[in-house]
Amino acid sequence: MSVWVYGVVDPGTRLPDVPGLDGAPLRLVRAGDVGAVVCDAPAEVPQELADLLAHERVVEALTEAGPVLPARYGSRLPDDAAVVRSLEDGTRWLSALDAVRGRVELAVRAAWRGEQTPSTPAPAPEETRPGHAFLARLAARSDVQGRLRDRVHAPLAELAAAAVWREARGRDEPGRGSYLVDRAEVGHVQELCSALAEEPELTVTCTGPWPPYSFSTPGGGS
Amino acid sequence: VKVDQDTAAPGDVALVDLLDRLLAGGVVLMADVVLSLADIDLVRVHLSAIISSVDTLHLPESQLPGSG
Repeated sequence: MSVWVYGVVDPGTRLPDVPGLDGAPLRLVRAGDVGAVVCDAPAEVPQELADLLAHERVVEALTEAGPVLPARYGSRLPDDAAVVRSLEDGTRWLSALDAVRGRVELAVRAAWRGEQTPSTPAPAPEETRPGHAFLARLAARSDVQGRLRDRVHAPLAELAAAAVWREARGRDEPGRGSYLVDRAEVGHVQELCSALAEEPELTVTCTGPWPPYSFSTPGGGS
Repeated sequence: VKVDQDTAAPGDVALVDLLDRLLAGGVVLMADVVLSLADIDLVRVHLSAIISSVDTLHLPESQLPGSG
């Protein structure tokens, strides 16, 4: 039977008293300096919201017990031996675990409110060459995005051990930040978000703390 | 997954932030063996149906880890 992976943990992690998928008991598969928390996998990836929340409850309980590199939902391996093989480079996993030790992730969404994108350069009306107009619009948009990054992401990132910012892909999307912060800093980040949300031209939401989903890949920022 | 900043309640944003992370974040162990991308796409499709009607779900706050 294949195994369902919740995340990579310290090998001495005490398993929480929380059921795995379909009530399957949690198991710790040790591989040298690290381990993985798994349970027997169902034949198909469960797709109900309740299943995803049940998975999240296990990961959050693990986060309370120690550092966790959460696995992407749906991660399955053929058997315990495959889990051990995938954790072979123990040093790499251990340093990734150390990077999230004592830390949690906060999620921030931010956008300029309505049309109040401050000092957006007006498109030059006399610009008739289509290629140039397009490039001018692109530059203006990138400038608006850049100022959102400076205004919201930059000060938040200063409070974080690591930070990732994803610019809006479309006009109606917010920029999205992920911040890996010491537990003691969570309140400060939330206070800063509240202060930013008070500003009339910005909408800002902050959720979490979450397990460090955006900072779980060894050697990668996200 | 998108969220409307002005109409979404805080709980909805928390749910979307969580789903973003569960389905697009996290470490992938030995991706070639692990993940059937088709499986994940199915989850996405299924959840986008949930998200579009999320305000009718009335999820209790306690069911949303990380909210608040």
